[in-house]
Amino acid sequence: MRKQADHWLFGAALWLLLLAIIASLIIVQWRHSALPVAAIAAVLGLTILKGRIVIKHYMDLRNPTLTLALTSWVGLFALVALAKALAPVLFH
Amino acid sequence: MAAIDDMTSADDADGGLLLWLLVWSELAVFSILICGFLFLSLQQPEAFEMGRRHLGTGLASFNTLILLTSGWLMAEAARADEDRKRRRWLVLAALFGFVFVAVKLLEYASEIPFSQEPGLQGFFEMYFLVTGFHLAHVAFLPVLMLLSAVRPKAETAGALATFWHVVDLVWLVLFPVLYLV
Repeated sequence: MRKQADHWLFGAALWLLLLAIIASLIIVQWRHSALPVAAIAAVLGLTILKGRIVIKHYMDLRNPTLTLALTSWVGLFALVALAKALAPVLFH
Repeated sequence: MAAIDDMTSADDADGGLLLWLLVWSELAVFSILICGFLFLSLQQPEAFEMGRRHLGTGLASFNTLILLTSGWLMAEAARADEDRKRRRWLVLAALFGFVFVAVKLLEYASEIPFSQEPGLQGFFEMYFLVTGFHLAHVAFLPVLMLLSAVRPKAETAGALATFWHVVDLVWLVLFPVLYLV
């Protein structure tokens, strides 16, 4: 049972690293030019996913309210960042 | 009342009410800093766009991997069933934390020359404030990890792991906000 939990945690860590590498590659790809909105949305989506993995697998919280609150904190700022990225497109 | 009792007992299982008060107060401060950064980037879009191009995105990406690996090591420390194993995971997690600090300082060294350029002071002041506050947390917690590795107790490792994962979460949010949008 314990060994299985170790494998789950290691698997979660590998997923997390993979998602971080994908997000970094997207950002570095457009380093010297403006990032398309779709790419920004993809990176922010990956941010929420990464946050979810950290909260669910790394933190392993027993209280669902805390899990929801932390996930919402990450989601809220990802949405605020997306709104900020969309603002120049929408208001010009 | 029963709901509060439920919440408190669940909080205790997750590290105690005091720990979570500290965590949420830290998140509140980071929220204000992130909002401040985003607000200023709306006020001075050209300066922030120019400033962002001088940031060490590659090093920051590498640091994300370092911090997430350290988070995994801390999760292992919190779950370890023997003191010997817990000590090993704590020391490894702390080492990765120090690597993050070293890489961030290297990144700062490449960014500082641009911070005095006309028009970019506002961007870099906010950038150094936000990342510096985060860096202070990353530099301080590994010291506590090493201290707790001397006598590795499960409760201490659990509390440190929770706080470390919150520092991870803050970085996950800061990374796209600072380097992307």
